Amino acid sequence: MAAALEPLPVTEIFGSMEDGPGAGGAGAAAEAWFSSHGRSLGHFVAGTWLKAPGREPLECREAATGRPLVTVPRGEGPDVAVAVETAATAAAKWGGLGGPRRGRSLDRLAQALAAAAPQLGALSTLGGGRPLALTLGSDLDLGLRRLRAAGGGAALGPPGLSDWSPLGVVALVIEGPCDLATLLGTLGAILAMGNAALLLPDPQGALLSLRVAELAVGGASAAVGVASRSWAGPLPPGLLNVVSVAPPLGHALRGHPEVTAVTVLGGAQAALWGSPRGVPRGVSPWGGPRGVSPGGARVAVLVLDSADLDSVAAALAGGLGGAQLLVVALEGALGALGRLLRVRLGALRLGDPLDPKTGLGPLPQPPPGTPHPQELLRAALEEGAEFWGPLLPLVPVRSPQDAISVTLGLGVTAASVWAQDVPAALDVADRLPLGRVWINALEAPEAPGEALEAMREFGRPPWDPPPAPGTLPEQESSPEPETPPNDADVATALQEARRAGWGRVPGPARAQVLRGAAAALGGDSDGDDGDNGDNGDTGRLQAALLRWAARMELMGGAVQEVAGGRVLLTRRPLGVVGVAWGGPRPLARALELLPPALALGNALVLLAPPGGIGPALRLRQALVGAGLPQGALSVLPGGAGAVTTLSRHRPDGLWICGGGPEPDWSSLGGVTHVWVPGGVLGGGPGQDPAPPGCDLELELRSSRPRSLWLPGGGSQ
Amino acid sequence: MGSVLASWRRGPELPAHARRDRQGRSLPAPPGSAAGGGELPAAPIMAGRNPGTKLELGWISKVHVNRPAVVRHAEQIKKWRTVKGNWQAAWLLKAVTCIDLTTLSGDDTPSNVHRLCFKAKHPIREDLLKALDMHDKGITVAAVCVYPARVIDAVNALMAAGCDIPVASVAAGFPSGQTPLETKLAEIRLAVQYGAREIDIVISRSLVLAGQWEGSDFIKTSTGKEVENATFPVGVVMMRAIREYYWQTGNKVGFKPAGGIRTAKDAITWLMLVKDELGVEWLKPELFRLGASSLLEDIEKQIFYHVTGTYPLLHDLATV
Repeated sequence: MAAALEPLPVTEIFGSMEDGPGAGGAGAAAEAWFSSHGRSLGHFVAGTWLKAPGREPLECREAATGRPLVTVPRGEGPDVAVAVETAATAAAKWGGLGGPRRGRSLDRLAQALAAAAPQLGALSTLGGGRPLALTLGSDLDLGLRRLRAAGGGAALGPPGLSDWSPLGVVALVIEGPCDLATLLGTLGAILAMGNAALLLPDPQGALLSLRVAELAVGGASAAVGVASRSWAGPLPPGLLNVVSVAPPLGHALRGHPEVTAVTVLGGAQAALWGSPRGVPRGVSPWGGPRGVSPGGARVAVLVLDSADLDSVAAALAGGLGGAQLLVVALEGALGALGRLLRVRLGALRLGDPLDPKTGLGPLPQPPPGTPHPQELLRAALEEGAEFWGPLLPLVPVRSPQDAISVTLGLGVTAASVWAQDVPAALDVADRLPLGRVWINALEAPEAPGEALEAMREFGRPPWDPPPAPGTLPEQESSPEPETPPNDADVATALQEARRAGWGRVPGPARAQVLRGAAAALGGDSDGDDGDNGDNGDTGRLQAALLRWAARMELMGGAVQEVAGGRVLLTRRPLGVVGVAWGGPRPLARALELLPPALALGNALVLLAPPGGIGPALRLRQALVGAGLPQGALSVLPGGAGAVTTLSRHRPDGLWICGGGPEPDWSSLGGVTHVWVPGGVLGGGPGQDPAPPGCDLELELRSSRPRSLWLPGGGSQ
Repeated sequence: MGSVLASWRRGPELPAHARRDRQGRSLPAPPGSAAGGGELPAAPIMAGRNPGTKLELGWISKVHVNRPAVVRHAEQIKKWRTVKGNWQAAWLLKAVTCIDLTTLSGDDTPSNVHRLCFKAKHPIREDLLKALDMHDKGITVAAVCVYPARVIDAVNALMAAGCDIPVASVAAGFPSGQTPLETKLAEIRLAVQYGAREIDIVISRSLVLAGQWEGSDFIKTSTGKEVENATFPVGVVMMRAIREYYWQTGNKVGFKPAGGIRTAKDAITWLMLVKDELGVEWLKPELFRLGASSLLEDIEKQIFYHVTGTYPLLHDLATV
């Protein structure tokens, strides 16, 4: 695409005042890298290129045109084995280096990547089709910021992570193109916690992964042996290893217990995993797969009456190439906004995403099974829709309340609220249960605290000892006959949980309910002095209810300054959390997980194991008696298949209690917050209370971050 | 925020010594303009006159400006919308044709005004223009801008050079505007009498707020005599107001950023912002001016580099 065009004569440009092409250096930098490898890359393992003979070449294509760029070898079992072994060796050394030294290395990595910015931007654009102005601009800025935040976190020890240890080798499965911000943010968190990474990209994600890994060791030639105590590049060789893969991937990781966690970046997980049961044994529960959506997020833009419509239109035109935008505008603002958008979008430059002036590249290929945008457009036109310029849905609404309702139905992950009337903007923002809300801005910088959140995912808390490989308990045959959970009941319970509105009850009022329940459970609520296990369990449960009620009274957020504004960081509930038993641990201690989950505003659907339903129902009765909405806690009989049944209904979070056999990870793909609580509650009945630091962990596991971005403190 | 200056661009009434003829539209006389000269044609380059409109407070109350968003937008344009190679050369030449080449110093004399006028007619060295095939396109600056007392010097110098570049004069108590209305009108009248075809006026905001406002043909960011002058975000807001006014009334008002515009890069950013907010049709001297004094030197330097591949030595280019 970077074909040199004969420049137009000055006289002609003087008449037309066209902008002309942007600087072409980025595309050339990428091409130079391809050429230096003869357009045939290898795997990148142990700081050097690995080209095993006889591997099937996979083609990396330019996303915008389909033009073949380079080939990468298709990773086979032996390639993965070498990479895993290298990563395990490197991880042991890296984890032992100590936070400050890791922090410095990550900072050097950020420097090295910044120095290669145009090339990284171009590779990201080639692989994913996002315009260069975004990949080289906001994506890279954000990625480097996340990397530096992770480095800072490693150096200082982020709050709540003292005494945590690395997981070891984390496999990072990259399906399709992955934007720089997501990739660097995830790598930063993995590395900051002291892990090594095995990147398993498909051909579209391979370009960026390979180049980042190469730059991380200062170029393949600069790397010295893994065994060496010093290294030339920012990171020691062997810490980032890249093996390109093609589906099915599952078998490739089988038989590598050193890989203690698998994280998936990108789209449809099934595509790369292949068989539904393809995830390897030995993957530790706390590192289960998590889907992280790449850059092309869906963002709702809510336009209220007092909005600066010119700025809204400019922001929409600027953001269209980076995210899927949906505009929800009050009727009063719609006419003027439409007119401004016509002008802005009409002037948007479409075409080659490698041109830094291109505002919008070609539409990405829709996922298989979804209708092509052109078809949707034709259908919409037939229904009388109006259409101009690039595709930007505009939904008129009557009131701010309508705007909120409509937005909630759009399945967006973030929203941008526009209004000069600050109380109106804040009111709408507060009522949007989304992780990220901007006021009068779109895609503004994130707070460092948000980047640190990811680090927890890649560390092992002190109360969860690593499992010895191969010692996971076998499923015990249950003493009672198990009835599989009733699918329809589970569906109804989830529906009622969503309607219960518990999350909207203010924290202090929720605390009152917990206190009331503690009192209703009866007995001596000051603690456990009972001599039988049951009283002890009840006492601990009462203590947990009271403790979490107190925590709710004290809970607060944080404010962080970022360029151009400030971010209010708070926690919000996950939503509806499914709790199920996978195995042999008794239910009583696990009921102590419910007070934090409820305190933070989650509704719960609990599938109790056989014989465990009684205590759960007693707790529910006490809570409902104290004012908990009926639907906010459902207790259903569980048994075999409970985890699978729950995950099918896509709760917002899924807690798998009791240890036991591994669940079918691939079936959990659609659930974003999967947690297997380990030693967080202490050893078991009659043992010591929960270790210190556990409450914070429970709080974080029961909630997710919410950031509200407020403009201010601008540069002028 | 907002304009502190409005420019009046001369309509049909021209002073006796204005020489070049071109047919213009019949337009109402601007406030305080000298009557007479009826036999003379319209000013050569203005797009048209803005008759003004009634003060619509309802309209103004709907104007919402989000400063941080505007600042971010302007920064994005500056960072990403650059022009290269021949495009840069063409854009810089366009900028030249929109310059109000200005000297507003207490020690201005006939001789430095004379040099300024020569530079106005020959803004870019002839051989450089020839190399770009632009030597026969009449590349001059848009106007020469001086104090009223120097208008005659400028008019005479330009006349002697045989060119029709208009002389613009700041007037009406420039730069503060804090003189009585009678003095302002007299000053404007005299400047026009001396041959100024365009007048940059510091508006009386007290009058505007009282509903007594007049149409202006151009709005200008600032006098250039303040600590902070033409900033991109302020320019963006003014241009958006111009567009809204055009949509509401059909009248195209010109835009003139002035003060602190010294580099070719700044000039291109201004042109890019105009193109972005108002469209290419505003990129002509009838609707866009850059008020600047030293900007031209940097532009000529960049053109020199574009043509020769090296930067000029001190003696390569004429200075004002």
